[in-house]
Amino acid sequence: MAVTAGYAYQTSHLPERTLPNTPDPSFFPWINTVLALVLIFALLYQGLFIKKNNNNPLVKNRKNGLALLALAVFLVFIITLPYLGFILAAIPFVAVFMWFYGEQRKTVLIIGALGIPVILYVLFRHGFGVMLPRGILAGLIA
Amino acid sequence: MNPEILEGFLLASLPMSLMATAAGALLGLIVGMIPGMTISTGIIIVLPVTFVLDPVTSVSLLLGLYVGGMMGGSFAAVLLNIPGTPSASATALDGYPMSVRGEAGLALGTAIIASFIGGLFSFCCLYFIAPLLAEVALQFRAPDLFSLIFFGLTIICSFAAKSLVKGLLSAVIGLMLVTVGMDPVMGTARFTFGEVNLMGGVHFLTAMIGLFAVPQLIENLISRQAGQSDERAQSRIISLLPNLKQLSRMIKPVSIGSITGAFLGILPGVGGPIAAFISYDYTKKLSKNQQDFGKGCIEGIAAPESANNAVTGGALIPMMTLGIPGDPVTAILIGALMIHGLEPGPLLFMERGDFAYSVIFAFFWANIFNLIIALSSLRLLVKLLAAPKALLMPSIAILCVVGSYSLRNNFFDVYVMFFFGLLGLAMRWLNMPIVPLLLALVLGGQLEEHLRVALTGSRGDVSIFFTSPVSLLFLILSMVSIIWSFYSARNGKKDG
Repeated sequence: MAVTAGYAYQTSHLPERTLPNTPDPSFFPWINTVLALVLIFALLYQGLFIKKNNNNPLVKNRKNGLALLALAVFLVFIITLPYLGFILAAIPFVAVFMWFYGEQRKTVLIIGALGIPVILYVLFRHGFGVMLPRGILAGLIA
Repeated sequence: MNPEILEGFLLASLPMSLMATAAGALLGLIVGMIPGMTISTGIIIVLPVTFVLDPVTSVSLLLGLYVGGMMGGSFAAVLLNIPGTPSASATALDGYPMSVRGEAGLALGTAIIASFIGGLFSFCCLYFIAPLLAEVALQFRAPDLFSLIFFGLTIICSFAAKSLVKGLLSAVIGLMLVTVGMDPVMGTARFTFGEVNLMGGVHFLTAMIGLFAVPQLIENLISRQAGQSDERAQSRIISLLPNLKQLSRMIKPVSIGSITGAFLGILPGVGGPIAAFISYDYTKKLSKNQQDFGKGCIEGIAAPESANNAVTGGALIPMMTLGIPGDPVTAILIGALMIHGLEPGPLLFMERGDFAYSVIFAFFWANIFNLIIALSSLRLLVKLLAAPKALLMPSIAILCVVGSYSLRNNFFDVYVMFFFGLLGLAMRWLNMPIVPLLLALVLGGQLEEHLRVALTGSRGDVSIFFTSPVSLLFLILSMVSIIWSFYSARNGKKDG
């Protein structure tokens, strides 16, 4: 509801460039706003007045700390990526994710954490021409 | 013969295209058979690669993956009782009991042959129906196109949503996101908050990568924590090909499955799982040995497997002729084609007939390679069912980042991808279907454009949507679709 309210507020501030008898740029966003409001109230009505049997197993796991931690690690990875570069940012990320997925063997962790970023870097930067960032390794690697 | 057909065939049969198709089919089989991986995820993984390939090779690779993934899903269903893809759910009903009886090879052989026939049947439908439908669609004007896309959205929501309200809300969220960026008619910047990167709008593929891959990574992690994913495959395969008597038993279920699948595939939003279950149900009802179903009979595998592979060709028909995706995978294919400056729709056959036919023939080759690879390397492939997720999942996470970054070599897209990942996760936890949002992202821009162009042409007169017979037909169909959705949702609640 808050998002829709914000959307409606922004829609009301859209510039008017209307030609005679034509819908202006806010025309479609207003339709979306009305539709969203109708559906939100329908959902609210369902939630308040229609008793539901919620057996979704995911709901029980909603507070799973590991999932939030994984998302946080992912976020740290993408934030540090432009500064550290692809390889340096990806190494700890892969190691942590491998550990999250149950890999406990140190040798496999090290090989995986080093191997996956390096292989993907070489493949995409030199194989497919994707300019993956080199970051602080810029002078050291091609 | 139309020269464009011949050109299309030659393009799809170039060594590079054939290699891409074969590689795609192999990847698809692998992706499809690993529980927790979907065909959409597989396509996300190879997307960055397609950016550097030419359009025909890219489409060959993606179609190979699409077709292979559909078949691969049945492997895990038969061997582990865990469908590799949702479309293989019905296959597990009889496939797994056969596997338990020690007939895993026969069950997989049946699935492979049925999938091949289903795929080939849908190729014929695609080849004959798509050009005709495109010719009809060329006559459509703005009001007709608006109503057609609106129909596509309503039917998608009704099929994709367990809760109709949540499904529709998901679509509206998609329509809201579509309005970010330049207005398609007048070029006014909307909801950009001064951010230059948002002027071009939200890139559909970035959104899709986030919506599908990030929630899957997290859910796989949650499943692992709950101890749900450490099954081991029954990797011992003895006999593979069915004998003549068993083949003759497959004729009826494969016919039902192929026709049902191809027809339902044409309808946007139906998808493989529904087609598989409907064909399974029909086959069971028409069978003399109904009591054998669910205990491990080849008819119970042949029907759903031919149906879910027939869906693939069926789903390509509205994608190529009307620009409306039949399922999430074809929605991604539309995005992949747009990267190469090709917009699926009726004009594709007119302006790039050679390319349009190359897609059709690439689909044909995908089915052929799928059969060859599946039969020749099945024993090796099933061993991959025990592949460690600890290596697979971090690689997928990194490929998501690479995929979104490589679209425009821009980190902003990576952050957008992550935002959509969070959105997708929240939607999954709230039991809100993602597919309507995805399809609204694909269709929303066109919906607004045609609506505003039609209203501009009629000087704001909305009756234009009701005076055009084609538009009126699609609006009536939309109403039927919505009413039917409400009706089935109510019935579902009563049954539940």
